[in-house]
Amino acid sequence: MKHKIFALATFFIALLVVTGLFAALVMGATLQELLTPLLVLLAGYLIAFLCQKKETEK
Amino acid sequence: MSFTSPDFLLFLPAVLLLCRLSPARFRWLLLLAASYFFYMRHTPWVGLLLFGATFVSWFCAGKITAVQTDDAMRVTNSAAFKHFQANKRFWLALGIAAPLACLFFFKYMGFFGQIVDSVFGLIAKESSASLRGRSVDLSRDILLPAGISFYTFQTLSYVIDIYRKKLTHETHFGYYALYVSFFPQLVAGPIERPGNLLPQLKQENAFYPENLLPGFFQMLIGFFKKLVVADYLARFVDASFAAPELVQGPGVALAACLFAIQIYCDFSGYCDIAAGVAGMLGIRLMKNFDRPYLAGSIREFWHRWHLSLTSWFTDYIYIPLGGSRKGIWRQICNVLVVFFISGLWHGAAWHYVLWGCIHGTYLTADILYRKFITRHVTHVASNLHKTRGSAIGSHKTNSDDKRTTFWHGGKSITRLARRLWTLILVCFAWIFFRAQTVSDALTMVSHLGNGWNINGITATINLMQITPLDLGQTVLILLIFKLLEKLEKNKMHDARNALRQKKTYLLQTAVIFYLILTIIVAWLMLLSQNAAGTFLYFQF
Repeated sequence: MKHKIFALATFFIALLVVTGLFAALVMGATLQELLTPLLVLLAGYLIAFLCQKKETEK
Repeated sequence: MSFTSPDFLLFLPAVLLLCRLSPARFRWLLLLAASYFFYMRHTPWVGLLLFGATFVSWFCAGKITAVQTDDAMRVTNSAAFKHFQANKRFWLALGIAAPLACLFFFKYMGFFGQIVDSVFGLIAKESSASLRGRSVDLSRDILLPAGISFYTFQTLSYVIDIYRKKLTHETHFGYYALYVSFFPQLVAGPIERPGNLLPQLKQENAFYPENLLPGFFQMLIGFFKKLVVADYLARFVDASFAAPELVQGPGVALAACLFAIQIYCDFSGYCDIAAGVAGMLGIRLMKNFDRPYLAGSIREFWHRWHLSLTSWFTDYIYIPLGGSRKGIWRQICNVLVVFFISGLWHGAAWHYVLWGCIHGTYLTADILYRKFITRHVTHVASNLHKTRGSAIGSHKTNSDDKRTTFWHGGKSITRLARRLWTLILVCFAWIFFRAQTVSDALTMVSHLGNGWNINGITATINLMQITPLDLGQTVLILLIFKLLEKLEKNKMHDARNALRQKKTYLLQTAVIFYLILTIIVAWLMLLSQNAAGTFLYFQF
């Protein structure tokens, strides 16, 4: 159950991000500005992945 | 075609699909055709050159093998033996000279033309006027075919290995042609050895669908390194090196550090993409980088940076010259020769040669340090131990041993100091590598001591046009780069294993998703700015 909720949340965040990116692009944001939230999310998920992986290996 | 060109997005799926559908025994033909298409896409005539180099080296290797077989049969007759030895050497010389002549013509003609021009200009200015005109035309008109240095070295290693009897001749020309032209590593390496790549290309059942995901993930890491890190940092580096007179001390230091990251991400990014594409096709390419900026000495740096080239130079130039077997001075001489050639290999310009010579000098200092200073300190320590007795002497010897092992010791603080010192030396040498000319590099080096104050830092920020957004993004990019390096180090990118584990599956999917999205946005950004540069090592 916990896993399913997490999967759903991840999916909705991804959907929100893609929609947000398109909206920002339409509203005149530059591509460089769009890069920032993506980098933040990527860094966050990478850290989470590394931590989870470490835990799983233990 | 380049990995970062839009047509590659169609080319790769098409090749993978055709590989999946075609019968295993014809896969070499498909890959060969794909490799030549990849190479000839924008400049078709370069394919002829590639074919010529391939055929000549294969033909010469075949002749050497034939002569070697005859040698074995007629070894009793000494006159015939000498004749066949000479024959063998002739084919070896031809197999080496023909590709090298091609390389010289396309890469070094203009450079040596200018040298001759300047020499003649010193002797007799008027008589060299016509020659000067010719040399300038040559350097301007001759287009350097991409990857010529890389596949030339591959053909040379094949012919030499056949001559040394380290390898049996590949009688199937198609497999050999595929070894030379295999598209993932054709343009910028790694410089594969026939012993590693040829047997893999000959395996008929090498294509497995389960190789696709790990290969794809490695490709993504490569694209991130190239498009997000290297091309992002390129604009700051370019701005500094474009104005060597204006840049101040902090600017030179920052530009050198950023270029160190840029060139590493550019080249190792290319190698990751190449390894990923080859991995999708079921072929393992050799490792070309092993986190080089963590090296504790220049010697170690060269065991971590561009491994395929370093091992090539070691096997085919350094060891045949005598290596370290003929005394220390001969060893130093050999090191300097190898690094002179390495500099020249990287580009037909004096600043590349100087970069090679700087690294040669670093290694010379390293050899001398290891040979004399360490030995001297150890000698003094052992003498102290003998003369002062074991009780006091043991204490003294320990302290001297500490001095001896301080620099090469394993303590984290000394290791960090060694790494930092090596990084400073490497970054200093990169200034000569990246500068347009030697005089530009010298100008920048002469500015290194200036402007270490608020005004100098402000001038650097203005020159590089660094905004707060750039600063924040650079920090984030470098953090992600570091995390990806960690993934690579721990072999966590093995997606097959990760996918089997339910817990990490979701996070891995999210990482891949955001990685793809970031790469697309960075790529579009660079395309819109006309800044999506080709890989730096394509020019070599």
